[in-house]
This record gives sequence, structure tokens and C-alpha cells, in this order.
Amino acid sequence: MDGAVALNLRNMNDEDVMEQLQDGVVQAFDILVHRYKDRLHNFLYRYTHNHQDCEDLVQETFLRVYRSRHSYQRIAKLSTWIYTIALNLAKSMYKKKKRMSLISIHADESDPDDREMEITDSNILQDDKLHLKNSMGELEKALDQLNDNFKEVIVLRDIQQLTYEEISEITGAAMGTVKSRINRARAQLQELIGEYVGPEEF
Amino acid sequence: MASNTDHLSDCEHFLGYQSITKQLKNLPKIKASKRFDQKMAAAFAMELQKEAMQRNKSWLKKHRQISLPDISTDLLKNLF
Repeated sequence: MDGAVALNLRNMNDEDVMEQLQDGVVQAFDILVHRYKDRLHNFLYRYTHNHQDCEDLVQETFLRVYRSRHSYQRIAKLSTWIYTIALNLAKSMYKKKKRMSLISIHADESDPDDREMEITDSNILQDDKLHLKNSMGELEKALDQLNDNFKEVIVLRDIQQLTYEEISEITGAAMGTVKSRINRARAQLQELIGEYVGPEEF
Repeated sequence: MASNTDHLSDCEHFLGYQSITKQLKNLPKIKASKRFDQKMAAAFAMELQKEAMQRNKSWLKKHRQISLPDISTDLLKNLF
């Protein structure tokens, strides 16, 4: 990247960098990748639980940001717009994964008596629960048990530290709905991992 | 990032779940691997290439009257 252009872009805010990208300055793309790659990884990992899938999803998010750069308008914060794209991708991947969450065991295809067995992931999770006490893993699993609407608001609020207003924009839900979902999601999490959590600190 | 008002609202409404929010905030931060930049750069280069090819295709569609033999004849004229 040309030194002067890079320095100039580095000093710009996100929205100005995006404007440069819209004007055809491709170096602006690198700046956006640099600024958002870790934030998006931390966000999307809650959906993939797998580094490889997460990287693919982050990569796809950036490519979509580039492809749809002309549809971005400055009335919205760029971060909100990028998170919306990432969330939509995560949701569609999550749906696909849910459909495929039945583990198929097929030992011998030539044997007609060897029937296909299907075991749901939740059975495995039940066993895991016994071994995980008061741990981060337990919390991650509890997060996964929340319904999609609850999960997205709690991840955006408590992990990504976004404001209610930003979450409302990203999810398309009214502010009141966002607040109530966060409240209920926390209550559910408390219920799910309650027995593993230490006393409340006031 | 979260504003002070949001934090206050959190405290007021969800004091009972303080340890949950704290724990969620403290979950290990997942970062991009060192190879990510390289992979992203390669994917972006391909994207730019695809875009250039599409641009060329649509230019040729718009200028159907221009064919390769025409261009080569022009070039030959200029040469001799």
C-alpha cells in the first residue's frame, strides 16, 4: 500500500474510509479489515465454535462489505452496517448447521441390517454438562441453548459491548424489545448455569 | 461501544445477573489467526479480478459493433 495513502486512511474514521472505498480506493478495504477482523472473529465465533468456520465467515463478511459497498449510506454507523451483514451470515450458517446437527453413523453400507443411527447433539451436551462446572465452556454452551433472538442480543450486548441503539439497528427490533430480550436472555442464562455460578457480587 | 447510560441501565435492571454479564464480558477474546490477513488478501485479489472480468464483459456487450478482427485491421493499417 502506498505510504501516504495508507497514513491518510489510517487517520480517517470508519465512515470516511468507507467513502474512499466507494470512490474506488481499494486500499481502504485493508484498513477496514484491520479494524474489524478481531471484533468480527470474537462475534462470529459464538456461532461457529470453530476457528476455521469462523475465519471463513469473517472473510465472507468482508467480501460482502466490499460487494455491497455502494449500498452503504452514511446515515448509519459503519460498524452497525458491518455487524448486520455478519449477523445475517451467521444466522443462515447457524440454520444450516442446526439442520445438519444430527450426527450420522453409518458403519457398513453394504450390510442392509446395518441401519443408520442418528444421535442428536443435545444428548452429547447432556453428558458434557456433568464434567463442566462453573466454567467458561459451560457458559458458552448455555449461550447456545438460548433461542436465536435471545442469543444475538446477549452476544451483541454483553460480549461485543454494543449499545442498545446499535443492537436495535442491527437486529431490526425495537429498542424496548431489545431491552426485554436482553433481560430475559440473562434470566435464562442464570437459570441454565445458575448452579455453577458463584454468589452474586454486589 | 456501550455508553454510561447503558451501563447504568444495566445496573438498574439487571443487578441480579451481575455475575452473568461479568462472565460474558470476560469470556476469552477470539482473535484472527496470523494467516488470516494473507487469506483475506488472496480472496480480495480474486474478488477484484472477478470484478474486472465482469466489467470487461459488460463493456464488450455494450460495444457489440467492435469486434476483434476490426481492431486487428486497424492495428495493421497503423503499422503499414
